Amino acid sequence: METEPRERLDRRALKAWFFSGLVWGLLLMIIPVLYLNITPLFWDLPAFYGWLAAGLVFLYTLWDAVIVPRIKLHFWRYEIRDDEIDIRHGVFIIRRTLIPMIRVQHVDTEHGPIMRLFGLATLRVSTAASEHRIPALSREKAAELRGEISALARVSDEDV
Amino acid sequence: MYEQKRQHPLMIPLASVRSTLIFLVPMIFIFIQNLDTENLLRNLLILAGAAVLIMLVIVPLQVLSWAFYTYRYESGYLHIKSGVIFKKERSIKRERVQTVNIRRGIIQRLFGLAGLQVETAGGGSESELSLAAVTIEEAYNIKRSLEGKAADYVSASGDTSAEAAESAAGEAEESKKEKTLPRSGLKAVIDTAWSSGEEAEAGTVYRITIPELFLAGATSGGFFVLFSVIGVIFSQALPFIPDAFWDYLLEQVTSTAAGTVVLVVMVLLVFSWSISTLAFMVQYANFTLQRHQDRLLVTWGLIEQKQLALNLNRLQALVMNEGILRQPFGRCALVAEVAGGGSSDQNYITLLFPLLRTAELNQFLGRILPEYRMPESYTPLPSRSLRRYIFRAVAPTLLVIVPLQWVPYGWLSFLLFIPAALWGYSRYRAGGTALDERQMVLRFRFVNRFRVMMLRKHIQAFQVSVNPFQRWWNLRTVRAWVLSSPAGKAFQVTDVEEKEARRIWDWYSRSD
Repeated sequence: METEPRERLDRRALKAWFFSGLVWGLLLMIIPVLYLNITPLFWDLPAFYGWLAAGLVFLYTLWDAVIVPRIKLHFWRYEIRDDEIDIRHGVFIIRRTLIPMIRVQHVDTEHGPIMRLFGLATLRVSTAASEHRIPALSREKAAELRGEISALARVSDEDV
Repeated sequence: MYEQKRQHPLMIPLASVRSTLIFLVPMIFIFIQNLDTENLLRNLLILAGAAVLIMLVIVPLQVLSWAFYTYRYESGYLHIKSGVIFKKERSIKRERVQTVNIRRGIIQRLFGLAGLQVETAGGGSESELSLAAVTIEEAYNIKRSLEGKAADYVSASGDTSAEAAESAAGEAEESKKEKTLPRSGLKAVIDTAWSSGEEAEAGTVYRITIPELFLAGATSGGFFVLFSVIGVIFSQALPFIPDAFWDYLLEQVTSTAAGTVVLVVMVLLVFSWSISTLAFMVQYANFTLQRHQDRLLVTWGLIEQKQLALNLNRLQALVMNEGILRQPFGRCALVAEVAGGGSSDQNYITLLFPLLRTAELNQFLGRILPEYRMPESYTPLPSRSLRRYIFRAVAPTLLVIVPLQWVPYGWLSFLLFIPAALWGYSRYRAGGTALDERQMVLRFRFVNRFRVMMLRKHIQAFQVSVNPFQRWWNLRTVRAWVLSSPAGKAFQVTDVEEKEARRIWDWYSRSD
């Protein structure tokens, strides 16, 4: 356990996470904007709450799009060994997960629109009981790892 | 043996009556709602007419579906064809069969019939197949042909299912010795008949005794639920209770209003407790557990007999559940985490034995499940975890206490700290881990105390997590996933020593 996993995520993860954080922030911003612009037409409500909410959304977006991605990227480590996958990740709570190769049921890659924009993909490893993700790998790296893991998962049939 | 067969024709009236009743229930409700004595006869006639009409539609449908539902089994296969308009054919291979359950409801028993359920690997309703009514011999024949050589033994040995047993393989029934374990309420029946097979392995049978069954029912905690239900009903019924009754209670029995309330609550408590105990005893009557080579056989039930054959490779973890009411008696229940099956009665499936003496668990496991073992000692949580456990238990009570400060006598709510702290302390005390070469045991408490025994080969993934406070105190949370239908399950122990977390990690890790 002393030896921390070696590999890191792709640096482009920062951009992708910033972008998706920004999109979320803008979506959330709709609520206070609507409050400030629509409600005065019908009711007499204090504008203060609208500005407060807008401020909160701004702070949240700052946290979610700028700060968290840096912490996440800093702690994210993984390593694919012949007989197990070792993952460390987290922001506040740091989790270290060990998945034996023989327990891997299937492995796939996926990428949403934002991830695709930055040439990134998520690797998803499923055991019979749990699911683990390695997000924000370059697409080539993810495909390579997927092949590697599924080959290793097939080979290893231990005594158990 | 290989021809295309139909289910027992009695299925037609049974199924017809059942589905007619389903249609009739709303009508009966309406009937009762509009109950008035003048038109009683007329309404009854309408009801009967409706029943006849529904029957006229349903009976032919049932006849058709009975006629078109055929099955055929040969060694290792079960083929089923069904459907009047949309034809459906399914074949089930022995290798894919996980369990074959035979169940007999009260009506089925009356006619010497049985229902058969075949469960295959993978979840979902498509993984199941059932025959509603076949003769008992037929049910056991199918079961045997699907379960193969390893399984042709007497499946039920209880007296209540004697007829099922004799039709299956009566020869194994005769020579059975019973002996009682020293200082134990359990009877172990050594089934010597089994030695007639190639492997001369004696299957051990555990059967619950009536006193133990009673204790299990009495401490099951089911009455809490029942009590709240009965309480609600009672409060609804209050206006209908004549004042004379209350006057009588007040004057003759209790003399104070508070006394009356206490008395009524006590009576309701005792009432719901007896009902739930009785229900538990009926449900789990004749509970037996036996081991035959690589499978466990569980049978239980008085009104509806249930039987479950559990292949050991489906058993993913063994959970010893010490209920809060059972702990004072030194008793626990044994529960299994099971993979595959996806049956509707998961709850029953996982119960391996309703009540055991905790002290005798190792002896029990040695006979039934030598793969698992209760560890002699656990690595306890370090003493610096205690403050975190107490904090976690006490902090939520502030949500109640702080608002109450604006209420007269609100400061009394600080007394909540005491039970909360005690709860935190007992959770801290319960926390622990144990390892041996093959198995890991996690011990923890929420309300009940659990010990989860997991073989290394069944742990799907393992995780050590740490938050900044834990890092400061050098503590960790360990978590292990096991397979359990329908999805996986994770068990965890919070605030273990960092060194212990690392020890488990290294034990689980395959590389060095």
